[in-house]
Amino acid sequence: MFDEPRRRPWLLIVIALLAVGTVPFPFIGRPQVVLGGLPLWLWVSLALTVALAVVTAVATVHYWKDDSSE
Amino acid sequence: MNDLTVDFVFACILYVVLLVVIGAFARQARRDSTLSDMFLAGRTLGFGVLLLTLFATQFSGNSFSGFPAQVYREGLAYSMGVMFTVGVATGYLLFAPRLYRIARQQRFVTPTDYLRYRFGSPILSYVATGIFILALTNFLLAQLTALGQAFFTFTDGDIPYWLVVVLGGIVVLVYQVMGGFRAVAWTDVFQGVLIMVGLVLVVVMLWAEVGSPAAITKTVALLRPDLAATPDLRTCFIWLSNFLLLALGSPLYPQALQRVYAARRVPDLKRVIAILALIPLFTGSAVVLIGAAGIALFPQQGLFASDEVTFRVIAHLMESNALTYYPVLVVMVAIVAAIMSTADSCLLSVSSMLTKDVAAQRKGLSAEQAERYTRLAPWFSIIVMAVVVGLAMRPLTTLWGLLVIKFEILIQLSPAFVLGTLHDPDDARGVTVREVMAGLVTGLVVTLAIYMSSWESLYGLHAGTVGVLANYIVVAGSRWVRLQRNRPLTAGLTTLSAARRNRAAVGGAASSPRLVGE
Repeated sequence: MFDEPRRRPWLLIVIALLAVGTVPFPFIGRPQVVLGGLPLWLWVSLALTVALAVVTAVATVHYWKDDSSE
Repeated sequence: MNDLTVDFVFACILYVVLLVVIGAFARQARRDSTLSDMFLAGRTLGFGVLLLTLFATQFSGNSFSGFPAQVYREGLAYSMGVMFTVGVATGYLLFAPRLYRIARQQRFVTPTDYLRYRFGSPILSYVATGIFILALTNFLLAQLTALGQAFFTFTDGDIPYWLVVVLGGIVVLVYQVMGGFRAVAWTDVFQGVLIMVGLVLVVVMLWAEVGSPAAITKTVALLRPDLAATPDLRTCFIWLSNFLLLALGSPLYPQALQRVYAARRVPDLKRVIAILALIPLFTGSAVVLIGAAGIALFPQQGLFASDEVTFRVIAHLMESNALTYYPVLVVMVAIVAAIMSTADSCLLSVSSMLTKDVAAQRKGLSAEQAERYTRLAPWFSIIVMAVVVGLAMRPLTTLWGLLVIKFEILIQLSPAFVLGTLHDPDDARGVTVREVMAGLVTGLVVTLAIYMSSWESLYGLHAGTVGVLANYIVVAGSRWVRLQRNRPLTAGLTTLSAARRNRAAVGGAASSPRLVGE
């Protein structure tokens, strides 16, 4: 049996949205808001980066199935 | 020479002796005289070695000095480094599962083996080999340059740059030629642990001596508000472009692909890639913190080359607290380890491609003959290292510049792997060699045209990013046109494939060779 994460369009869309979401486009030209010493755009970007890492890790383990060497 | 220089040199001598001893053990562990054993350790890498060798290989000298330098020059916006190193693992998802499956069935040794199997074009194979070798030689050059700079800075110029480049090159050559891939992977285990320990120590020391990440950011905002500002639109495009470059380019490094081939089992490989997605959350944050601490400690830029910021920061840590002496010494050796672990992998990969994809192909050897054609490999390693050491005597540009140039070219091979692995070689729905070549030529022309023009980039998008987008459009577009023209035929083949799968599913037929990758 063989399966791989890229066969799920919804997963690729989620990954693409998270990747674009990490880039602070919505904060361009807005006044800097600081929370706990870090700019808000940095918090948002880091949070979405964590989400991207977790989605990538879970997708790799969960949706990659290959019995050729197991 | 001061005490630190003497202790650092002594620690490096110990480190080098250990590498050579590991190389000797790896030589003893050789099973046979084949390319698979020499360049893939017989495809026996388990979870632990695979994880640390991939980590150590990807965490290069550039990660320790180039990324913090970028943060130091451009500001907190380069926290994007965390995001795009996560992207490296995301990039693997686009083709690694299927490539691994085919590689095991076909017993690939080099990345070009896959292209030869999938497209059967000597021209594409030679062009791809040329691009891989160019990228790797470039990367090896960057590592040797970084090694020379690191020693020069750590020892305040007591040890000349040229001497370190020559000795570093010889050491890498010795243990790599002795033990092949096994030596490189085993030394990577030691080096990977050392890099991780070094990063933990840097973070702890920065926290204790300079302040928490929030305190460092506050200081940056106070001293250099321009470097803590919200990124502008151009920087956001650079951010996005860097993500695409790393996600599409980094998994295509031949040394990374060969580690995928070398994995013993799928469960090990997928757990390793999953962990590699999470590791940058710490390692990326650590290198961003080093750059930010550099701004806080040395806000007036231009006093030293930005590539030196990591070394300046750890020198400051040592001066500020005597207790940090030995931890800083470990960090210094970890930086050397990060550089050498990448350099040895690059050298081995270039040697494997010159042996298998150039020499064996030119002699017209069969697959079995090529598998035993190992005698030239050490000579290729020696020649490549000699050339690169010669080039490193005159550093061309900053480390970051070297990294980008390499990616710009390398990612043009992405469609061949990402789209190529979607179908088997004789499946009419798959991309053809003509389409891939048309995309590759378009991508390279667009990249080089933008790079050599006065623009260098398109509003923050790297030349290579624009090139690879054009590349994908040409490949996917020409495939779509072909499928539209041959619609009845493709529909028939699709039906045939579905029928074969159905038969296999009910156990009525052995799986077809055409569906090996399914």
